[in-house]
This record gives sequence, structure tokens and C-alpha cells, in this order.
Amino acid sequence: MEKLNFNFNKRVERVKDYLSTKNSIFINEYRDDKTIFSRLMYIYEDTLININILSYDENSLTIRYIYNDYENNNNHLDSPSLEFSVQEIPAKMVHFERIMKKSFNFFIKMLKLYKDKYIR
Amino acid sequence: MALKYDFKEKVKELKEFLQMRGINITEEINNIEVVEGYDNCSCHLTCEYKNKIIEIMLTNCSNDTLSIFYNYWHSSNNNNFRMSPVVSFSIMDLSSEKVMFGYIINKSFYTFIEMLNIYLKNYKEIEDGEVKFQF
Repeated sequence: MEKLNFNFNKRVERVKDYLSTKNSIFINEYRDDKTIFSRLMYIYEDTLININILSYDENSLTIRYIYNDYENNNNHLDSPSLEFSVQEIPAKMVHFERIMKKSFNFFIKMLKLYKDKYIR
Repeated sequence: MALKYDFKEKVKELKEFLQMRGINITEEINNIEVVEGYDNCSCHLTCEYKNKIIEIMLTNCSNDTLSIFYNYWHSSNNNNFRMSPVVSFSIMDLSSEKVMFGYIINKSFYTFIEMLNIYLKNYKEIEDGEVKFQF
């Protein structure tokens, strides 16, 4: 395990705390401590989304929000997927929390746009 | 397994679509090879859309479908920015049939551009040399 200058688990818990306030249902978590990776699966307003959190370096993290059409049983043959990620987020909790929240809300805007414009 | 369509022809159709909409292609990297009996094709286009650099990647998926990936890397557009937000939209299983290919390319491209516009609209630049990441 890479030596980090921050507590990775606390950042993951902070994401979970935030999602618990956003009308979302926690499904499961896959954790790999060797590579310092956490994948959280949620239902957000009837939509299955994945949130991947991983270390970028010893002082920063990357967060990825992902929607895969095929995971949502929508049966669109072309299988669209959308993702918003922010790399190299400073690990300092106040920065991490602010960017995590803003990036989540932006991802939700992307998702709504996709549902309005792309799904036929 | 050999592809049932001409990958180079699909690249040509994609480039024509982009050029007809005034999108400048600044770099093109093609890779067409056979790995362990399977065709492995990709085309990576670096484009300029309204002074923003976007990356478009076309690859084969199955022997009669393709995948297309649209990406906007903030770091490619602003070297002074430490963090790198990335807006991505992809279609994994795109029909190679010409009409459907053109239809999905058109629809997916404009969906991606609308996502990008929301990002750019909400993003605020760095103020007084201090990094303020807001979107």
C-alpha cells in the first residue's frame, strides 16, 4: 500500500455522508486497499451510478462519477456511458469536500441533460 | 476476426461530419493492426471547438460495431490549473451501418457539446492568482 499523507478511509466516509443527504440509496462498496481504490454504487433517483475514489498521489485524490446505460437495464443498443471526473484533488478535507460536492452536482446536471437530450 | 466494415471509411465519415460543422482537426493518430487474429483499430482526433481542445477517439468494438469516446480535459485547455476535471461521454456499441452511424454520431456529439457547455458556463476562472475551483 502506498504511503499517503492523509486518511483515505475518512474521505470515502465523507462521500458516503454527503450522498446520504442526497436522496440516494447505497447499494454496495468494492474496496481494494492495495491500490487504494473504492467504488461506491448508489441508486440516485432511480438511476444506478458508480462513484470511484482513488489516490492520485500521496497528497491528492481522484474522484469519478459514472453512469453506464447497460447497468440501468435501459436496453439501448448503442450503450451510452457518461463520466465526470476530477483528478488531483488536494486531500485537505475542506478542499476535498467542496470539490466532491460540486463535482457530484455537476455530474447530476450532466445526467439530467443526457436523459432529456439523448435517450429516445 | 475481421471487421465487417471498412474502419478507414468510418473515420472518413466522422471527419467529414466534424469538418462540415467547422471543427478544426489539429492532430490525427491512427492505429490499425491485427492482434492475435483480431482487428484492432483506433483513430484519435484532437479537435478545436470554439477555442477549446476536445479529444475524440473512434475504435472498433465488435466485428460490426464501433465505440466513440468524447473527452474534454481541463488541463489541456489551461496549463496553470493543477486539478484536472474531465468531461466524458461515450457510445460503446455504435452501429457501423452508414445511416445509423451518422445519426448516432450527430446525436452523441451534440449531447457531449451540451454537457461541455454546462461545464464551461458554470466554471469560474482563477482569481488573483489563487486557484478557485468552481463549477
